[in-house]
Amino acid sequence: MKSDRFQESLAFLALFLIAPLASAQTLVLQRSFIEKYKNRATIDATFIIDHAHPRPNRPAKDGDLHASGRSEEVGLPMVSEVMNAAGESAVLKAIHANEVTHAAMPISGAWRIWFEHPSTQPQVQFANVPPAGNTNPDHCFEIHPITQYAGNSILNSLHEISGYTPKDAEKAFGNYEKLSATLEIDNQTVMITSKQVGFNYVKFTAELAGKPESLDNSDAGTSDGQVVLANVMNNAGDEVLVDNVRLIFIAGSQPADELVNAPESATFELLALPRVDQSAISAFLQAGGSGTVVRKLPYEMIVVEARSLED
Amino acid sequence: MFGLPILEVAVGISFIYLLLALICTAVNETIAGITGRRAGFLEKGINSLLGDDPNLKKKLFDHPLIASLGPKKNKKSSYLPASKFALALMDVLTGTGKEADDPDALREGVKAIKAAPLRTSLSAVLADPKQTLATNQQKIEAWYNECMDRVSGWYKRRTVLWIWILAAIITICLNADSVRISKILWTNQAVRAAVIESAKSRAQTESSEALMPVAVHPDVNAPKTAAAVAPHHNDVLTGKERSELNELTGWSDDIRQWAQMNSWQRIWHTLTHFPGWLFTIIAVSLGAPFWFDPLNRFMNIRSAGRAPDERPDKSTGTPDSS
Repeated sequence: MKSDRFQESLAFLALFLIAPLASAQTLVLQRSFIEKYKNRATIDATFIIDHAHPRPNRPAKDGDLHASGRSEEVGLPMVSEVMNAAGESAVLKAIHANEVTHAAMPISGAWRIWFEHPSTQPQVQFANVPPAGNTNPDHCFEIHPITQYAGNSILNSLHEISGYTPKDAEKAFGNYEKLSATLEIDNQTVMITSKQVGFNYVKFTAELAGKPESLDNSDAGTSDGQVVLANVMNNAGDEVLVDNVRLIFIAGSQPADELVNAPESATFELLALPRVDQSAISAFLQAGGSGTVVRKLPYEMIVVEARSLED
Repeated sequence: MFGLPILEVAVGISFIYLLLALICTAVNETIAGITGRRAGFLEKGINSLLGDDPNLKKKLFDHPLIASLGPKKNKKSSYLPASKFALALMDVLTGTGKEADDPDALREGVKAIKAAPLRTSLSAVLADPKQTLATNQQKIEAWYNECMDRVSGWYKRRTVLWIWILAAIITICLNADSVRISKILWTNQAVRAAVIESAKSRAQTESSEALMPVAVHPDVNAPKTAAAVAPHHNDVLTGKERSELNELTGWSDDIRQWAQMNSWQRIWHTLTHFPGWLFTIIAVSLGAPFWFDPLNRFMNIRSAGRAPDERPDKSTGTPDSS
């Protein structure tokens, strides 16, 4: 009998020790933010730099330069990243100057929500965001890649990263497809809890499934890119890995120019970054989705390099 | 069966907590829907913004932009986007015959507001000394969003309180005593096996639902338009889960035992449930997602004995350099 009680106590103890380990990473977004950015390629914001890498990452690592900081428009711990940063000396100079002054400067680039460097504590949008303690604080929000900083356009930095080995398409999409998220919906916010995931800069082949549509940046009153559905192919290029993935092309970038000239059902070789698809979450909310649901984490791809395979 | 009774009891108790938490959430959502709790909090938030000006409030809620959001006629919406609030308020303040974004008409409209606190607040919002926002609409949206953050906080606090109350009611009504449940699971192998099977089935169902998309694109030529997938919930518990819950909880055993006891013994017997009830109430108030994860973890411990083709892909996403 005593032994039974001991085993029962052990069961309870095991249960309550394991339960907290199950905690995942939580981001609380305002529904108004989701509605605003669901069909925008980029975000225009002001950005205060707290810390920046003194020099860009080695090309073998990814060639990016990180700057951590804060933005009133975002209201979350965040970083901004310059792609192929070694070739962008003017912007690097401005970033390092503003790292010292902490001046709020205009910044534009692809918004990116991704659970890559999450916090153990929930990050609540528009709650108090303290200055970052280093160049890579816990964050789920990025402006990545930056397309403009302090008046310097660096749209041309969106191209292949020479010396970098991109992630394998089958492995990356295999992982994206397995990601689930718990959505807790209330009248003003959506709490998204998901597991940590990486797989940036994945190279893959995709066949356009439909026609592109323009994405509107209402702040500027202009289109800030294109979105198109595409079928992602396996590494051999003979089978569809994932169908109807949203591909985001940033206006004025090389991939966007490539898309404009592409025929229907064109096939591309692409380099891209994943981000949470806010338009899918918005559709769920608009249809009356409420309470707590566990679903697949919706994602879309920000295209940073495109090469048509039509020739 | 895992062959480890202690693990099976842990799975069983996690599963029972999950079922009770699901019931608790469903009851809470139903009450929130019937009583219009979300809409009530939204109205409370808007009242705190607009202050004591019933005429302005009526005009705002009757504005087509806002009135059209309600699910039924005369039923208020539980969600009001900042853009619609700002546009409707600007339209009401500028009056008929003027554009909603006419700055002069808006300034005049603000001056004409009868409630002094609202007049002062709106004047300050529109003056925006930091000049960080470009348009009056954006300024009012930011003001509204700030208020709604507070409303969200109120709502969450109230929901937590409701969940505790409901967890207590459900626990006592069902006599879900953690100590007794674990004892039954420990001693009755047949019940334990049935509960484990149901837990496995629930974990698999939840896993397949976890891979269900939130939305799909029905038209490949309209990538900006997504259609939600099953936004409304199905039955909370399956018939099998209900019968297992009946097996492990309920008053029938107690009532049988009471027949052979005097009044004091009955009271004492009921009091002995208190520690177990307290444990259950705490566990249930943690919510269904909290219990679903440990349930899966316990299930995954089984993977030590899985066939090679059952083993999961270990190439999980690790942070990249960025």
